Amino acid sequence: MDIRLLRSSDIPHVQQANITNLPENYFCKYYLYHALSWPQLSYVAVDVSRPPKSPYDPPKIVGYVLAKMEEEPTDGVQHGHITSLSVMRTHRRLGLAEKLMKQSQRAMAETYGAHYVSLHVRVSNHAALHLYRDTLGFTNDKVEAKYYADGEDAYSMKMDLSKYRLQLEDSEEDDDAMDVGSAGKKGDGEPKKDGKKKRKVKVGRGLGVGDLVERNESKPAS
Amino acid sequence: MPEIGEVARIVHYLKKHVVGRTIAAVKVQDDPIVYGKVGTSAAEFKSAMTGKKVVGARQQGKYFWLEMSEPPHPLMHLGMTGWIRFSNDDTSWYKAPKNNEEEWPPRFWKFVLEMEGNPECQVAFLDARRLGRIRLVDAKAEEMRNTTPLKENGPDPVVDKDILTVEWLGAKMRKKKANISGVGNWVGDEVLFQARIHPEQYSNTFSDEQVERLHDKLIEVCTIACETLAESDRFPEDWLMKHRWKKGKKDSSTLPTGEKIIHLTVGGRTSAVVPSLQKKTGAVAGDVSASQVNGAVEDEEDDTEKKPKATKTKKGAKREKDEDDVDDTTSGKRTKRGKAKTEDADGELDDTVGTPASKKQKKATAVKDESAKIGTPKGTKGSKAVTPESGRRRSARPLPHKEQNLFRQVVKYYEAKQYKKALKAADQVLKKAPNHADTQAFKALTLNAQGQTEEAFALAKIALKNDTKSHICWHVYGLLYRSVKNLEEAIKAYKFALRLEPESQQIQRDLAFLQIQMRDYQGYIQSRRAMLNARPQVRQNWTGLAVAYHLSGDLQSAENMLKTYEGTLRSPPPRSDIEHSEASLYRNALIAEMDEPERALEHLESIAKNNLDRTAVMEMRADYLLRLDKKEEAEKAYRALIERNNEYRLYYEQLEKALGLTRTDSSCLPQLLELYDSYAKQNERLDAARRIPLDFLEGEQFKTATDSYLRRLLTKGVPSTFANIKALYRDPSKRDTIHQLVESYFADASSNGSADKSQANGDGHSDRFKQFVIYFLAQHYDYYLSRDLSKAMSLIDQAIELDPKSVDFHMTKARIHKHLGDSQKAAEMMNAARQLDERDRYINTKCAKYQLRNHENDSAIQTMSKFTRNETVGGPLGDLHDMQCMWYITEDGDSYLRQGKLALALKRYTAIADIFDTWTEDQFDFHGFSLRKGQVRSYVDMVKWEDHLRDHPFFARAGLSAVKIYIMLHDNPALKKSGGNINLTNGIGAEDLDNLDAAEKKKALKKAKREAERAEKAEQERKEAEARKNAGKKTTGGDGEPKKEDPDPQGLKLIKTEQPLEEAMRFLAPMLEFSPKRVDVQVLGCDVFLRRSKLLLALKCIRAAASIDPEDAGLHEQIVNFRKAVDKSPPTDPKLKAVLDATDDLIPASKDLASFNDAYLKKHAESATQVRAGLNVRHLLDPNSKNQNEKDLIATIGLDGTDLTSALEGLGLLSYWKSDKSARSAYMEKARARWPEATVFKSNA
Repeated sequence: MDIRLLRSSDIPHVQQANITNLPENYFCKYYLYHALSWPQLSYVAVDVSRPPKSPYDPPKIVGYVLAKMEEEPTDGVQHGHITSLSVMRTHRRLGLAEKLMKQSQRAMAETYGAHYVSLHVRVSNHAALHLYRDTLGFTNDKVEAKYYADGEDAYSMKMDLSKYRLQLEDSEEDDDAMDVGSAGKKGDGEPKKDGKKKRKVKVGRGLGVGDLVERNESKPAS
Repeated sequence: MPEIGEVARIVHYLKKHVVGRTIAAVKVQDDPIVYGKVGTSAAEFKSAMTGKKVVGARQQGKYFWLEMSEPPHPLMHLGMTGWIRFSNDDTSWYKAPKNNEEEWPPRFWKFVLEMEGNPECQVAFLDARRLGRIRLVDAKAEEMRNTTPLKENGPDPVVDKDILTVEWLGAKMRKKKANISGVGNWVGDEVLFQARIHPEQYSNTFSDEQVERLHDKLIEVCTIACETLAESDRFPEDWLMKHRWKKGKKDSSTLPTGEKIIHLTVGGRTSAVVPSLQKKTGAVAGDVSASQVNGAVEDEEDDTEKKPKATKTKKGAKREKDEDDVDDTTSGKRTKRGKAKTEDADGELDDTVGTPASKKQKKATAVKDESAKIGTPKGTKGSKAVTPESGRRRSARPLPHKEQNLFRQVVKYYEAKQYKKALKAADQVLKKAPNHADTQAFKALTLNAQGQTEEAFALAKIALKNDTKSHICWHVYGLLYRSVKNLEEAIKAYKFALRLEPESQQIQRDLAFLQIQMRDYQGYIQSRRAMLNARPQVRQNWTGLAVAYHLSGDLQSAENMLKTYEGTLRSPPPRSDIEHSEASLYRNALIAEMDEPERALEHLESIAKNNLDRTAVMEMRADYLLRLDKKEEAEKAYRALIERNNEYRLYYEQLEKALGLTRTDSSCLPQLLELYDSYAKQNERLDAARRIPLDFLEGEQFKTATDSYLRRLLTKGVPSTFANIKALYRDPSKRDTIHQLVESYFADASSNGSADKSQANGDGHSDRFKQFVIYFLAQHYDYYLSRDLSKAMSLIDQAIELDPKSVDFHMTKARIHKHLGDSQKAAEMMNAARQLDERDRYINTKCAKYQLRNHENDSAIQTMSKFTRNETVGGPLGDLHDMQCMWYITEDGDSYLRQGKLALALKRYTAIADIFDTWTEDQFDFHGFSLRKGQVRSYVDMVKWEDHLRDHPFFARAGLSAVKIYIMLHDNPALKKSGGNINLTNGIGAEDLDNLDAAEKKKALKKAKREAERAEKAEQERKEAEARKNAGKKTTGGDGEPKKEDPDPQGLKLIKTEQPLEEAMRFLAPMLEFSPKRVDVQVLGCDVFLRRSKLLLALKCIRAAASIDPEDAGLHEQIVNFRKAVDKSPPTDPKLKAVLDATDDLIPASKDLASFNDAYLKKHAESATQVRAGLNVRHLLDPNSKNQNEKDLIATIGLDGTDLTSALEGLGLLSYWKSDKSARSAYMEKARARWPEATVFKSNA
C-alpha cells in the first residue's frame, strides 16, 4: 500500500471510502476545499498492486487522512486539524492510519508552522480512541458536549508537533551551516534554540476562506 | 490617533486655559492642506481670530471647536497626528513628552494663539502629517452642529445619548452602517471587546442582545474615555487598551488573564481582538487579512461602519459549506476595493483618507455604499453583484428622487434576500415609471431567486427592450442564464454588459470565471489581462493571467507573467509568505513542464531554501536530477525522500533507476535484494521494502522471501494479509508457492494443536497464528484465481468456530455464499456479521450491498438508515444522494434493473449523472478562491482532472445500464405503459404483451397499474409521515439549502420520454468522449447510432471497438447489425456510399454473413459469451435456427469458463428469443445442476 499525497482525482474514491466507513460524510466540494486550500496536508493509502480493470482505473484508495489548518484558532496558536481519517476494514492492522497521520502532521509543521494538531472522536469509539491515544500519542484535551449530530459527546484530542518543528529547525541549521560553511556564523543559529525563531505563517483567512470553514467538523473516525 | 477621549482632553484644557479669554495675537503657518483643503487659509484664520474673545469649547466626536464671541468659529479636527499644546501646561497624552517637544513653538505648528492676561498662555496647533484640518464656520454658535461637516456626522456617544439609543443603533446595524462620531481604532476595538463582539461579524447578524450590549459599551467606553481625559492610566484594568500594546510587540500581547490578543485587518483597519472572548455568532467578513495590509492605511473617517452581508446562519448546519460562501467573501473584498477606488479618484492618495471628507468625496462614497453589490439569485454560483451606478450613467429615463430611493431599496432587499420586500419596492417604482429597465431587471432577478424562472426571463427581456444600453440589464440577463446553467448565453450577456461598462470589475470577473468554466481559454486570457491591467499591484492578477496562459498551453507566456511580477518585488517577501512560496514553485513546475529540467533544477535550487512546501521541493529536485542523469545526486535525493516516507513505491522505483538497477536483469538481483533488505532492517513496521521484492523475485528466492513475509504478518494476526498479497496470484507459480506455504503452516499448526491440545489452549500466540492461517486459506479458496468454494466454506467454518465473534470471518463466509450464487444466504450471513459490530459502518455498508444483490431494496435502505441523517428531505435515500454515495445509488439501480423495474433503475442512474454535473459545477468557485488562496498547482491539477471527470468508471457503470434501458424503451414503447416493469409477477414481460390476447393483456396492464398505484400511495404516506415529523422544522438538504421534494421519485416521468435515444446521449456522449478505449462503450454506441440511422457514427464505433478487441462478442453482433442496417436502407448520398463501400476489411458482404458467423462460432466455441453472440446472430440471420440455438445455448453452461453471471446472461437471451417454457426449464435445470446453491436458478422455471 502506497502512502502518498491526495490529488483531486483521488477524491471520488476518498469520498466512497469515507461514506463506507464513517457516519460523518461530506460532498465532493468539501474534499476539494481541503485539497485546494492546504494541498500539502491530506494523504491517501493506495493499493497499487491491483490488476487494472479498464484503461480508466482510478486509484484504489484503502485509507485516507483529510486534514486542514485551523483558520481561526480560538487560542491564537497556529494548529492543524484532522477532519477525517479512516482505513478500510479489509486493510486494517497494516499500520496505515499511523503512517498517513505522520505525513500529514509533518507537513502541518513544515508548511504552516503548526504547533499542534487537534481532532475529535466519539467518546464511545474505543477503537479510535485507542488508535489516537496509544498508537499515535494524542492526549485528551477536553470533552465537547453533544458535538455530534446525534447528540453524542466528543473528546477533543491534541498532539504536540514540536518534534517536527525541532527537526525542521535542525535541518534549517544544517542548511545554514552548509551554505555558510564557516564556524564564525555559528552564533546566528543559536537564538533559534531559545525558541525565538518563530515562523509566522498566514493561513489565508484574508484571502477569503473564512466562510468556507465548517463550524462543526466531523469526527475523524467512528 | 486622537479619538473621542483625547479630543475631550483637549477640550478640557481649552476650557481651562482659553475660554473666557481674548486672543491677543495669532501666528500662522501657511498650509494649503490643513487650511486649504477645507476652503480657508492661514491668513483668513489669522484675521478672523485676532482680538476675538473665546466664550466656549465644544466637541462632537473627534471634531472640536471654539465658540467665539461672534462668528466665524474655528472648527478643528486633529486627523491622525494633530495635537494642541499649551505653553504653560502639559497636555501630552499616552506618550511621554520627548525632549524635542520642549521647544516652543513646537515642531509642525500650524497656528499659535497668544492669550491676553495672566497667566501667560500660548496655544499651538501642531500636525506632523498634515492630516488635521482647520476651518472657519460662519454660523451662529448654536447652529454649529447643523452645518457641514458636523451635521453629516453621526451622533456623539457622550453628548448625544438621547439620539444614540439602543433602537437607533439596532436599526442602523441591521441596515448597513451607522455613523457615530468619535469612534476610531482603539475606541472601536475597546467597545467591541467590552461587548464581546468579533469585528469580522457582519452587523446585520447581531442579535438584539448583542446590539444592546454594543450600545451600552459604546456609551460606557466613550464616557469613561472622556471623563478620564484619555489618560490610559486611569482606564479600568479590564480594558483591552491597557494591554494591547504591551511590550510594543503586536503578536506577543496577552491579557493579564492569559487570553491572547491578536491583530486582524478588518475592512482595511488593524484591529486588536481577543478571539477567545470575542466569538463570532454570525456571518463574517471575508476581507480580513493579517498579511494583506498594503501600506497600512489608517482610516480616519469619523464613522465606524460595520459592513453587513446577506444574513446567513452558520451554526447548526453541520455539513453546510456551500458555494455561496466563496462568493460572499468576494463581495466583502469588493466593498473595500470600491472604497479604495473612490479615494484614488480624489487624488489625495498619499497619506490620506480624508479627514473631514470633502463634499465631493463624501458623496462619492455614499453612492458606492448604497449601491454596493447585489447578491446572486439562489442557486447561482457565480460572483454576484451588479453595480447599479445609475447616478453616473445617464439612464434612459431618470427616476424622480423618491423612486430613485425606492430603487435602491429594491437592490438592498434583494441583496439581503428579502425578496418579498424587494418585489414590493420594485412594483412601487414601476407604478410610477412602468418602463424603468433597471428596476425591471432587478425584479426579474428577484423573481428568479424565488424560483419563477420563466417570468424572470420574460421580464428581463422586456427590460432589455426598454433600455438596451443598460449594463445592469445585460448583467442581470447574464446572471439569469448563469442560474439555469446556460453558460454560453451568460457569457454573451456579460460581454454586452462589459462593453457598456468596461470599467466594471465585477462584470469582468463574472465573465472571466464563466470563460474558464467553459474552457474558453482565449477569452479567459483576455479577461485576465484586463483584470491585471486594472489592478496590477495585486499579485493574484499576475498569477491569474499566468494560469490562463498555462491552461491554454502557452507555458512560456505563463512563466513570463510570474517572472515579471517577481521582478517588481523590491525585497524578497518574508519566508512565511505562502503565496510567494507557492508562486515560486508554480513557476518551477512550469519550467519543468516545458521540459527544461536543467533550468528547472537551477531555479529550484535558488528558491528551495525558503520554500514552505518541502516535500514538493524534494520530489521535484529528485525528479530533475534523475532526468538530467545526475545519478549520484538523484540517489541521495531519493534516499532522503524515502527517509521521510518509506511507503511510497515511486521513490523506490526511482531509486532503483538512480542506482542503475533493473528488476528483469538477474544480475541486478543481489543488489536489489540488498537494497530492500537494508531498508527492511531499519524499520520493523515497514511494509514496502518487504513487499516490493515479492513482485520481482522468482523461484526459491521468492519462496524464501514470501515465507518470511507471510509468517511475519500471520503471526501478528493481520487480517488483511491476503488482501496485501493476492495481486501476486496473477502469476500461477507464485500463487502455487503461496498456497503450498500456507498449507504447510496449516498442517504444522493442526498437528501441534492435536498433539498437545491442553497446552495449545494456553498459548495465545500460536492460536492466533492458526486462526489467521485458516482465515488466509479460506480467502485463498474463495479467490477467483484459486477457487474451491466448498473447501473455502469448510475452512471459514473452522475459523468461525475458533472465534465466533469475528466480523471478518463472517464477512468472508457471506462472500463465499455470494460466490456460490446464494444471494439469500449471503445477505443473511452479512447481516449476522453486521450484528456482531453494529457501530461499524463498513460492515453495515457490506450488509446493505448484499441485501441489494438479493433484491431487498427496502431492507437495504433500512440498514443504511442506521448511519444516515434521516431528517433530510427524502429520508435516508435523500441523504445518500446529498452525500453523493455513488456505490449505493448505482447498486440500487442495478438491483432494480435485475428485477425489471426500469423506471426506478433509470431514476438512480440519472442521479449518478446529476452528481457528475454537480462535480463539474463544484469547480466554479475555485476559479477565484484558489487564486486568493495562492495555491495554484493544486488548482491547475484540479482543472485538468475536471476536464476528464466523466472517464471515471462510476460514470460508465451507470451510463452503460442507463443507455441499455433507453434502448429497451425505444424498442418497446409498451414498457412505458407498464410503468417500466418488465417482469410482472406472473412472469409476463411487457415485451410479451403483444403475444397475449386482449383479455390477458388488459389483465396484465391492470395489474401493472395497480402496482404502480400502490407504490405511489406508499410513497405518499411516507411523505406525509415525514411532513408530520418535520412539522415546523425547515427541511434542508445536505447543503443547507432548502430542498424541494422530488416530483418524480419513482422515475415514471423519466421513462415516459418520447425520445429515449436522444435522452440516452446524456450518458453515451460523455462515455464516447472520455472512455473511448472501453470496448463496451463503443459497442453500445454502435447499438444506439444504428437505431438512430447514423451509419457513419456507428461505423466509427465499430472501427474503434475493432482496434481495442477485434474478437469482442458485442462487436461481432454489431458488425452484423451494421450490414443489415445498410442493406435495409442503402445510402443515397454518394459520399456516404463511398465510405460505406470501403469497409470490406471489417464488415462482410450480406451474402457472407452466415459463414462469417459460423467461423466466429467455431473459433470461440469454448467461450460462453462469444458463443452466445454467435447464436444470437444466427437467430437473427435465420429465425428457423431457434431450436438449434436453444440447444447450443444450454450447452454453454457446461463450458469450463462459464460463470454464474455469464449463465444468467444466457437466461436473458432466452427471454429475448421468446423461447418457450420447456427451453427455459431445460436451461435452468442444467444451471441448477452446476450451481446448486444459486438463488437465481432455484425457483420460477
